[in-house]
Amino acid sequence: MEISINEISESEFKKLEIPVLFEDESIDRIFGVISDGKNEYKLGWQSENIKPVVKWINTILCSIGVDLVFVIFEFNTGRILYKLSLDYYFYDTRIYNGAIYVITQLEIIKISITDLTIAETYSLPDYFESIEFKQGILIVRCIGNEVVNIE
Amino acid sequence: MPFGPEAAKGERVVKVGVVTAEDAAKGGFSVNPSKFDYFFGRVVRGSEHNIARSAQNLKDLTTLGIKSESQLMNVFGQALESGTVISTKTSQYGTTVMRSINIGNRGSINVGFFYYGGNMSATPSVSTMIPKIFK
Repeated sequence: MEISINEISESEFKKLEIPVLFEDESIDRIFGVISDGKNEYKLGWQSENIKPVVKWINTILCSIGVDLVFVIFEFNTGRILYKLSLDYYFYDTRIYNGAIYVITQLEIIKISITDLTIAETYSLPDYFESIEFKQGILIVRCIGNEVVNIE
Repeated sequence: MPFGPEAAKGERVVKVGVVTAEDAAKGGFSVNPSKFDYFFGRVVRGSEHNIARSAQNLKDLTTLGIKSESQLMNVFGQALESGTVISTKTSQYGTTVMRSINIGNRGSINVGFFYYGGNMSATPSVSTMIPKIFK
């Protein structure tokens, strides 16, 4: 399903009467509307250089993360099923073997897709660089050539 | 390991609010030089998200009026000395205490102080910083 995020001005954001996925009025500088062509939601975040990462979990659930926020919501209703305030900057989301991996700067949070609870949190020795899933093992590379294998 | 004692050799070490040798051990902190590249927008190779975040860090620090490593070291020192503790997390690598310090009325910075092996009497290293710009 095609999803787009269009950036809008703060005044447009305030005027738009559509549901809010997340915002922080005290620090947000970038504003946007996420749409699948039928449903629209608005959101705000701080970092001008960083785009939110949107990933479908299945045909109903969608995830979005940026800066220190990660949410899982139903795209057709806007109902937020899970919201995480992150300790470290959000980087990416990966779906693997029935789990959602929320990748942040210094840790990876594994969430079970079946009940949307945190199954595990993996700390990283340095800033995340890349991840590879190989035969049930997560191979995480961090800056400084640190490699962590997570089974 | 950048957070470990091996990496400490190349790190800049600052003593904050030094009164006695004991206080010095408690009050100092170190910063791996490569972290300054990340904080001041000098990451230009590697993953896209690290390059983008590094550029964003530079922009945010500039907005807060922090333009040099020494200015940022002062902020880290203030955070360690008088910052508000907002979280404490322990992992297999050690313990990270996140402290928040206001930068005038322009914003705040969360600073992560990492204690290797969870030894809270050791000199911590700065693991990350998260600037927030107030509107």
